[in-house]
Amino acid sequence: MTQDNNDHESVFLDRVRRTLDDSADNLDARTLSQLTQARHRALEKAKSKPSLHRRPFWLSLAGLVTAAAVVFLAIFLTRDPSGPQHYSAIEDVEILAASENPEFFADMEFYAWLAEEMEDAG
Amino acid sequence: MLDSSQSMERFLASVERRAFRMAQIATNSTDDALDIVQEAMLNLVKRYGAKPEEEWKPLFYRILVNSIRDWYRRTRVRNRWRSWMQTIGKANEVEALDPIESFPDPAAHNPEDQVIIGDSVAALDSALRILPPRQQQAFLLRAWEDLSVRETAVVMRCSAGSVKTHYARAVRTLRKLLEDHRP
Repeated sequence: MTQDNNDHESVFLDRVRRTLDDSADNLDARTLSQLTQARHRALEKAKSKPSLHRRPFWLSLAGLVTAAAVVFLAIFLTRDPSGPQHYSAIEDVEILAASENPEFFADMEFYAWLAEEMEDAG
Repeated sequence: MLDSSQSMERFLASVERRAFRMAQIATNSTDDALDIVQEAMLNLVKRYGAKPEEEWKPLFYRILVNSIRDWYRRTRVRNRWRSWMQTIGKANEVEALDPIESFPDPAAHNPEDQVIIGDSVAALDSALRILPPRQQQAFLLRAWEDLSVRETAVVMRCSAGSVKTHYARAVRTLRKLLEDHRP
C-alpha cells in the first residue's frame, strides 16, 4: 500500500468516524429516553435477581441429584482408565461439581485471553 | 468513590448510544435495536456485574454481537417461514398485484444517490448495510469502537486473521461506495 493510499484511507476513516459520532450524538429524544429506561430496567432487574443463597432448598437438591446422575453416567460411559477419555471425564466431573455458574466455563477462552492481556500489561 | 451500581450505570450510559447505532445499522429497525441493547445491558449486569470494571467493555460488545447474531438467525427463520406461507397463499388464491404497491418508490435512494444529496449519515448507514454482517461488525468495532485486532477477535469469537480480512474488505467496499461518489 502506498503512502498516498494510506493517507486517503486515514482521511476516509476519520470522515466515517465523525459521521458515526454525529449520528450517535444526535439521536432523537424518544430514542434517548428509551435507552435511559432500558438502562434503568437492566439495573433494577439485576437488583431483584434472586441470589443462589435464596434459591429454594428443593431446587438445589434436584440440581444436585441431576448432577450426580450425570456424573455417574459419564463415569460409566468412560470406564476405561487409560487414554485421554479418562481425563476428559475427570474434567467434566470438575465442571459439574464446581460452584461456578456454567456460563463461566463457556467463557473460559475469554478469561484466558484477559489473563494474558493483564500479564502483558505488567 | 462510586459504588458498583453507580459505576455500572455510568458505564452503560457511556456505551448505550454507540451500541444502539451498531444494532440499528445491523437490523435497520429502531425497535429491534432497542431490544438488542436492553438485552445486552441486562445480560452484562446479571452475568458480569461483579467482574472488574475494565472487563465490562469487551464483555458488553461480545454480548451485543451475540444478540445481533441471534437476531439475524431469528429473522432468517421468520423470512423463510413467511416466504413459505406466501408460496402456499399464492397457490391457493390468485391475487392481482396492487400496481401502487409494486411501483418503485421514487423517494428511495441507493447509497450513491444519498451521498450526492449530502445525507451523509443515511448514506453511510446504507453502505454499511450492504456489507456482510461479519465485515460490518469488524469495521464498527475496529474503526469506531477503536478495539484492537485481538479484542475484536475475542468479541467476534474468531481469529485475528479473520478480523483483519473482514476489516480490510469492509474498508475497500465502503471506500468504493462512498468515496468514489463524493460530489
